[in-house]
Amino acid sequence: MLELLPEFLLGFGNYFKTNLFIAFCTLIVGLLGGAILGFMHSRNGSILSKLASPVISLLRAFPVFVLMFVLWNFIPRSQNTSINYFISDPDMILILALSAFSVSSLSDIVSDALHFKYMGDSERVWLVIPNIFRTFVTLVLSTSIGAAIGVKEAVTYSLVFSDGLADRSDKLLLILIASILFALFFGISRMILDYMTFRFKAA
Amino acid sequence: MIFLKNVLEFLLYIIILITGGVVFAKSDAPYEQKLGTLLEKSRSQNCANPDGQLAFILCAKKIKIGVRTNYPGFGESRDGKIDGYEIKAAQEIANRLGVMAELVPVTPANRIEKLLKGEVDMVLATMAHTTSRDQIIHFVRPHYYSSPTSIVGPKKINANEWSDLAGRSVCVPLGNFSNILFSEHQVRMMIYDRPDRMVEAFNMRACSLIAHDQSYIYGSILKNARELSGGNTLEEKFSFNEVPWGIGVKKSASKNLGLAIGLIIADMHQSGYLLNLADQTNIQKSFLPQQKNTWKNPNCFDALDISDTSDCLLKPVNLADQPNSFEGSITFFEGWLGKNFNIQVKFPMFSGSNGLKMLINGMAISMLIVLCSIGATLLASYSFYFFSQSKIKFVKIMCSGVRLFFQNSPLILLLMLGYLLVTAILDYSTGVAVFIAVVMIGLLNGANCGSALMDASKTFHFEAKLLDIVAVASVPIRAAVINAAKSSPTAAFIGAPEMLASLTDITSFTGERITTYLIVAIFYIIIVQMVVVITGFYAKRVLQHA
Repeated sequence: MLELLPEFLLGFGNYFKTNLFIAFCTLIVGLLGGAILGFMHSRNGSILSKLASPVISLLRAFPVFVLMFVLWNFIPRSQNTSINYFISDPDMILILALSAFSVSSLSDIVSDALHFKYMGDSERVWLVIPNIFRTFVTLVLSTSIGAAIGVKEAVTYSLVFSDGLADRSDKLLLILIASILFALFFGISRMILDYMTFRFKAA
Repeated sequence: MIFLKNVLEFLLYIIILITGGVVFAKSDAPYEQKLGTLLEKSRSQNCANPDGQLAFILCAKKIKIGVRTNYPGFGESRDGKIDGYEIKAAQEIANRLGVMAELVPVTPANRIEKLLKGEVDMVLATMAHTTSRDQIIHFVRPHYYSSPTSIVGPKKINANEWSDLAGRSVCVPLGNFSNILFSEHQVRMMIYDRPDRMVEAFNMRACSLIAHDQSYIYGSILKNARELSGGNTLEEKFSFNEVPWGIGVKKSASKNLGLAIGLIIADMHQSGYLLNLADQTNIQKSFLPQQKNTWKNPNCFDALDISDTSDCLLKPVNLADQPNSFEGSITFFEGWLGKNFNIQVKFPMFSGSNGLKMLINGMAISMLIVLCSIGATLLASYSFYFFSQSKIKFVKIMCSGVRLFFQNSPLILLLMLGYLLVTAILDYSTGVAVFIAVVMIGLLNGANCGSALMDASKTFHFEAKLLDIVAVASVPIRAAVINAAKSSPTAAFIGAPEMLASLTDITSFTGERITTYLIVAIFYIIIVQMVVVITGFYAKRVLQHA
């Protein structure tokens, strides 16, 4: 197992880029959708707010794993593989599924930021930045569900790599190492986040 | 006298030889002769008002044949041309009828619909002869091919019998009758509506094994094994359920067009034409020599005229879900939706015995996972909080490390970790899969929730009551509980037969996806909304009491 570790770590790092890329794309979709819904929602008592509320509630209540399978079965897949050169069908489906979470989450952040702005509390508006970063970190963690539909990301890579090991204890060790790698990344991210939030609050 | 006797004997000998030769010659091509008579009778009809589909086709001088265009070896489109075993057979059938063949691309999802709508006259498109299909269309016999379902995967994966497949992911074709066996053996299915997409997904490791007709497995997957598996050698693990493939025509055409095609196929078997075609197109042919012998046997010459029960004819397979007592009402409702709202949907999960059982089972297991996950989340959060308050530094550090690990690890990896750990001690079963899912969902969300409790406790400058701490941390606790409910379908990843897994199984053998996934979506939205409302109610009560 130990002799395979450098190969695994190299591959893991390579595939982890997909997790970051998908999370980034989902964040962009979330920012666009969230900005519109957040703006509509912040108009208290208006028709816009009444229209936005059920949409946000629906997106929030939709389990991402289920939504991913719904989209997997409903969206017609592209016939031409050259179209998929930049982004594959499973990647696209995962981005759309995670967007339900990112749009609802970011609409809350935008709505709160607008609320602080109307209140004249411009310092707290800046809290939007760590909150967006927090959403991004959660999205990176959530991209792992893509393993169920064949997204080529770090979790899929780890599972495939472990499939190639004959010994159960080696498999266990490998999955444990992959989990620790994720935990390290997110642990550091959360520390950065706490620091960012602290600095913005202090400012 | 002797001379006369010899002459008479000689003449008799000649007569016997001639008549025997005629009889022999006649029985050498019995199907061709019968076809000739049938075609002559149909051709004699008035083309202004042809009676029967065969007469209609002969008058139009064209037959529309539904074929596959993405099935290597059988019907594959390459450089604008369609070629393969079925394509060549289709053209030969048209030739023998003396008409032109118009090939119409069909898919497994629309081939029967196109036949019933009259968009094609016959379907020659990798269609297995099952009793459920037999009720809708007429299957021409003899069958032109037969294939079992094979399971293929990398050599390093041990999957030589059904019990080895439990909990594993297998790529399967949509609507395949044999998929019901996978669901019975707790296999996690990934469904694909086109074989090329399925192979692509297998290549991308969406599943560890792939199941398809043996002919396709040999003709397409094992042939390209090196490219597909990234250098790993693939092998056939095992095969099951040999099923005959038949040509479909409308039920109303069974006595004319159906019979004519049946005679052509019998002749193609007898003459070895189909066997040669299989050689030319490089497909598996174990079924064809056996059929050649059958249709050469004089006992089978009249099999097509006598009845469907002849021993020369193969029977359709019966793996369809048996209708339950609601079947009539469900069919009426489907018809009502179609008639009044033009919505063409099916609800096979309500009308079939197995389907309904799996649906109810899936709902019950989903509810159980949601409830237990919420319980496990609350228990884990209290445990993390309790150990974090320990006076022993080692316990505190350990608790913190474990909490951070679960808080920052992806659920899919945690599920796999739990699966590997628990199955080292216990045999894999539904209960074990549910248990692993509940524990892992509980630990992940409990770690977040425990963290919130610890943060909340720090806001008090005195020894606070747990209820007060819970009140301060009510928002993140509620979020963790809701998240536990939302995460519950992920249990399907390790084969827990909850709602998503159950309905995926039902879809795999019924082919109906729209209603199935809408039901899953609605079910989980309702469940999560219920958790939102209930947790909101309790959060308010905690705040009031604190």
